[in-house]
Amino acid sequence: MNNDSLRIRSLRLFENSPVAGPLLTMIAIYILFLVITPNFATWRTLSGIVTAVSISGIVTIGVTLLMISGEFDLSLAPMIAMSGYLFGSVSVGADSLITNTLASWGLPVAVGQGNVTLAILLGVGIPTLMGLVNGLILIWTNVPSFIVTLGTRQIYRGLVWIVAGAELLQVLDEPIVYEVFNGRFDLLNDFVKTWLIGEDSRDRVNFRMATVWLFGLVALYQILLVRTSFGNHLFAIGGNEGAARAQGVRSTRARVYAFMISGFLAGFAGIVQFSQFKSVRVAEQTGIELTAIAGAVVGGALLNGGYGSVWGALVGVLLISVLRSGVILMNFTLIPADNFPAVVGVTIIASVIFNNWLRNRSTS
Amino acid sequence: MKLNKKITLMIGLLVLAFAAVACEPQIVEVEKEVQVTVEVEKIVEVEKEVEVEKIVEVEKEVEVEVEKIVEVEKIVEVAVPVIVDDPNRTLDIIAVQHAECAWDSFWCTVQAGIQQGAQDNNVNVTILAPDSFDVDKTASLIEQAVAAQPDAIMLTVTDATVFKEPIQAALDLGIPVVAYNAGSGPIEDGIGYLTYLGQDEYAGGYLGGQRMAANGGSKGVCVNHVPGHTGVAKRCAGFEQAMTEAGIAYEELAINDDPSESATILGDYYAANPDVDLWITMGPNGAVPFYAFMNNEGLTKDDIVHGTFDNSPEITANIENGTTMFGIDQQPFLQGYGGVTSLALAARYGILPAGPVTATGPGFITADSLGDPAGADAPMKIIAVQHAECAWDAFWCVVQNGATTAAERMDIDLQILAPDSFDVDATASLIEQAVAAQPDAIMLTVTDAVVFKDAIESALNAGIPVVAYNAGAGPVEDGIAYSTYLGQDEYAGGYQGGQRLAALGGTKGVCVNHAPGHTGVAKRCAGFEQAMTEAGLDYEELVTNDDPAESATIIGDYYNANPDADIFITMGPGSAVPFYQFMDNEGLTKDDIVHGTFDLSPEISANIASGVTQFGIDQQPFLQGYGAVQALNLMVRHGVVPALPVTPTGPGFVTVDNLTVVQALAGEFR
Amino acid sequence: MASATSPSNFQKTRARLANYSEVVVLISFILLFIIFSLTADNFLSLLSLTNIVTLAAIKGIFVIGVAMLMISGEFDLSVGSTLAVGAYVFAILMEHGFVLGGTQILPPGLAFLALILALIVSALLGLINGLIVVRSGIPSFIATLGTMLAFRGIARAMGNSELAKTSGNADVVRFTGEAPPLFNVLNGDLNFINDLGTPAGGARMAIIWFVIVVVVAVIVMRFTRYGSWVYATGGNRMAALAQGVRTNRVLIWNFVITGALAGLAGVVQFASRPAIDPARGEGWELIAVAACVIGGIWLQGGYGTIIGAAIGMLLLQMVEQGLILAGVDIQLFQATIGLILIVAVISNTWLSRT
Repeated sequence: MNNDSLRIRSLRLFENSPVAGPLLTMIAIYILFLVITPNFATWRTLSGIVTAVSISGIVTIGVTLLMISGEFDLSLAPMIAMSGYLFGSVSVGADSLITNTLASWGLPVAVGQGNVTLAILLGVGIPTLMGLVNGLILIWTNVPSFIVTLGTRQIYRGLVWIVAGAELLQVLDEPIVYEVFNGRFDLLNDFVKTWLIGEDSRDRVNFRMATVWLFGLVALYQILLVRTSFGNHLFAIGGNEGAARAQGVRSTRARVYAFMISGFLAGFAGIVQFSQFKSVRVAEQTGIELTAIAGAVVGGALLNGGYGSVWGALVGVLLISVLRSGVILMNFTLIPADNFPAVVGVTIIASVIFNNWLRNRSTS
Repeated sequence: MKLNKKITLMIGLLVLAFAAVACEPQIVEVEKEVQVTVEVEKIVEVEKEVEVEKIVEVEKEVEVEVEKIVEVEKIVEVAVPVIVDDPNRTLDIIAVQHAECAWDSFWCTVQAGIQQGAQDNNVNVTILAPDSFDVDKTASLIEQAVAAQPDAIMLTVTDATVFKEPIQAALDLGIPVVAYNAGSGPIEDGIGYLTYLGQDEYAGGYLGGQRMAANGGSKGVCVNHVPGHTGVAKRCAGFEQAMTEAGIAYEELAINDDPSESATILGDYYAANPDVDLWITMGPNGAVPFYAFMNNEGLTKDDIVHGTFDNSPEITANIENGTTMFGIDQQPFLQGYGGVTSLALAARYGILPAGPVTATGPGFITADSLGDPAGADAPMKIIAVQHAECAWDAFWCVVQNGATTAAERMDIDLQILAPDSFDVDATASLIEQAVAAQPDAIMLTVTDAVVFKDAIESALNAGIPVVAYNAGAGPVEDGIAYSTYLGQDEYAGGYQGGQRLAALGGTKGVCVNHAPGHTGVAKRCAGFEQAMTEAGLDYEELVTNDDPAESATIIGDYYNANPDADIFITMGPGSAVPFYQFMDNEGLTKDDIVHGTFDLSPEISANIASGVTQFGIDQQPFLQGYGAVQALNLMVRHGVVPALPVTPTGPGFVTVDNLTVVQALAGEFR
Repeated sequence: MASATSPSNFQKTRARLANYSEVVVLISFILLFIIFSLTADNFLSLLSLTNIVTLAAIKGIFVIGVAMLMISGEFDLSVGSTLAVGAYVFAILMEHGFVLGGTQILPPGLAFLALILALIVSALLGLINGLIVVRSGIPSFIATLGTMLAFRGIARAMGNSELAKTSGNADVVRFTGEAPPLFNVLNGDLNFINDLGTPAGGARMAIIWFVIVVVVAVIVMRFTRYGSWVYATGGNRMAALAQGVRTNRVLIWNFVITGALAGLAGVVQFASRPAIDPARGEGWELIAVAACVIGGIWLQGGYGTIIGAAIGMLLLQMVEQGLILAGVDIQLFQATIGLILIVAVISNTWLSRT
């Protein structure tokens, strides 16, 4: 095979893929920062960029699947909070309303006696159920998912408030399961420190287990999206639901599954977050829904559905994270850390325009 | 098939991309390292320069510290009482006083306060008093009280020298002791009891003067019928200060015990100084000749303004008809009630009074406040509006615990309202909505006096008493006529915290703020900045947000861009938690940077114990919630008003030294 | 059952009701009003009722703009941020005037000019939204999600800048001077209402502004050509274009109107609570959408009325005040609103499914 044709073929491939634009942009921006920003070319910056997206990245996977099928989920924050409370309370048996209620129901947990299996099951199970409810309301009423989940978001928030007993949860214990979900990834950290940086350097590296989970989930769901009929159905109903249904795609079922996946991932994110910070609030992660949509859109997904990829979602949130670290390290006076969202806003619009341009060029 | 190839290629490209990304820094790193070493050299140089200066400075600090510690030690050494095993059991308190209701009607009010305080706090009180004024007998009663080993003792320190030994005996047993009605506070008395509850004489004169000067005037006179009495001299000094601040001339006029002679003195003085229009008298014995003088001269309330200390039937009549603007009440009810409450809080929760003197007066009796209080058993509803809550901020669990504990004890219906996240505007709307519920009283956090002004005034106009807690600056500074503010002096907290941290040495101080827009937090940063500037250090504010993972990265990035930052102060658990994460990420230890924080949480306590965090600034949130409910209870049911515009609950510094007492109660009461 | 014996009558009633998209919200409003009157102490007091209307009126001003946009088939998630920018312009001009490079170009306290400039700036932000949506073809949801963040950044940067002269007080601009008469016109007390009861009511001028905005919007939407263009643009854009409706121009004007109304709401609010912080208005965009949807407006556009949206906003505020008076935990307010939203949408969909 000659080199030239491979180059052309890979280029064409790139142009056809939703991830192409975002990935190119991210690499370009990363290299730009490497050149112009002091302290950016360090392992601690790189690991910081990756660690900062651990929660939003996991959630964005689900949001991307939904967006490909043409739907929204605005009720993710209360799911994360719900999962945090359930997982946190049950994993260590914190003296909380949850633990006491579950114990009185005869479940194998008591104050001071955590149950890790039950904690994980509840942590991902209940949010998955919440996703199921979203999906069912959607298919039964035919109300746009934006409105359904705007409503359930408020209801779920009230539910979390009741389940939490109106208090935030903090624990001091550190069961091993927390290390598994989001401990320091010292195997990698030590390797990098020893072989790539050198012990004497001031540079640090802080990868966490959440990153492993995030990349694993991205791989899993990318395969699910492109290799299974479920994934094809999502693309089909997002692109043209009527046509999809005519071709025998069971659009309602695929849609409900997508909502359950999004709930499951929100629950997983809740577990990951609790494992690191060991505290959760009722209003945990408020607004993450829009952040996730922003990540998915920057990563090439189309709002109207039928187009997008899980890889793209990862690249989207990473792109935003790269920008944040770069901007803070540049120490601009007009854009202090608290004004970074403004940069995200401009990025969203710019990247959508850029992605559209790229897609049109490749199709024409 | 096609799809497959695509994926494989894409994965391959991605791996390549990430590999490229991963390799990139290493290449640059080599160049970087050179720079780094240069930087290190530079830092060393700078340190050399600064060190000399710093040593001198630190020495100064230490001197000051030592002085302060001596003062504080007088209290702290003995003031940490033993906490009872079960906070819910009925406490036994003995009150020893030099007089009693049976032979002095003043004491009936004090004892009514004690009884009410006992009822509201689930306490048994035994009152011991001699049959007549007898210092020696009172001292013996104290000794007998100590022998009974109650949970706490309250007493009147009529003679500090005679009482010192018996009181010390109680303190040595770990029994908490407070003084009421008579005393000068632990420092002046030289006895390490917790606090003295009585009138702040200076504040009485000062606040009275402010009220009288509010409508202008040309000259103010302090009519003193007991020249030489130190307490009364303080009243005049406070009044003088208020006059000076208002730009009004001031003079003191001495009269004597003979009312008719005194009336003549007043008349002669007025003839010589016809421009005098503001008069303050020191009690009934000054007010009675004053009314005679007014009568003689044919003066009415339109000609002059009169205010007085203390109360009597004649004074009350004159307040009613408008001749006298106010009577300043030392509130004997509050002396008894407050004595019981502060002992109960100390014995149960280890919560100690913030200052050596707890003011029970001045309480102002005016024409508006002469109405009857609701009575001890009247049903009562309080709405609390606060800018944060337990569901998302650990600090507020303690405040709410204080408020609900007090409400339960005092049989009050308490409703707590708070927005979902920090939102000044939503909080203002909640206040307006709370007023519409027409509760008996409202307690609220004044996070922004300008925004809340209208809403709070609508409550006051509807006749609803209002106190502020946790956030505010007091009615005077906020310009809103609520009753009092219970909380800590935020600026002083930041300033003192900054001084402590600067004394440990450093280059640049950073205030990590997770609640931008909060005026109280802004004051903390301002106080910290002042301390940094005075110590000759750089200062910067760093704003973080609600997402702990993101905030930790933000602090990390900031630290990397500003590696000279080595002093950090965080504004509470909301910024301390990401801060600890940041330290962990960077592999920083207590030797690399110094850290102090506001507020306490289990995690903060653990870090104080391990030496990572120098201190937590404790504003005693339990006391803020409890005290606010109690103050409203006293106002509505007993007609007793808070003495001072600001009722301090902190700052108190929790360090590794006094941590154990606090840690046992962390998260619930501290 | 009636429906069983005379299905045609029932169908007819339903079809007739479907012509009035505000019928669901109106019925819910009346029902909830009766429930609160019976269960919540002091609900029928002057203070509580005026509170509801006043607080609803301030948000209601920009809800009307969002309603027009939604009828034309578009979103504006940036209203909260636009409101903050408008209020900042007004606040800075009132407190500090306009200082550029050390020279005082405008003195502080020119209330009327400040008002005009605040409205112009916020209308311009609306124009930016409109141009992005129309020119780039980005869905308005995404475009205004972007500008929501970007405009918030402008507000924050203004609070931080030389113009605001803030120091150490976290970007908050307060008006400290004597309130000019314009403040009373914008949001003064309506004492002729407030003095009718004890405790005095909380009615403010915002109510009058709200009523004016609603009346004008109703007239425009119902009796002018512009109104029918808006409905046509939202209903079937291709058909509208075919009939010669310049849909792009309609959309841009709707965005401009929404921006200006958000600015007006910000200024009106500032007149009674004269301090502005960078977080003002966060989350209000979703409140506005909820009010519109409860009021019977379709998310896809082309259907719904201004009156419906106005009642929707009043209903939200009434529920909040009512639950507080009933002593219900305020957090359950959220859940109640969510429930009402879903029920209202389901009923609206059912009614219109002829």
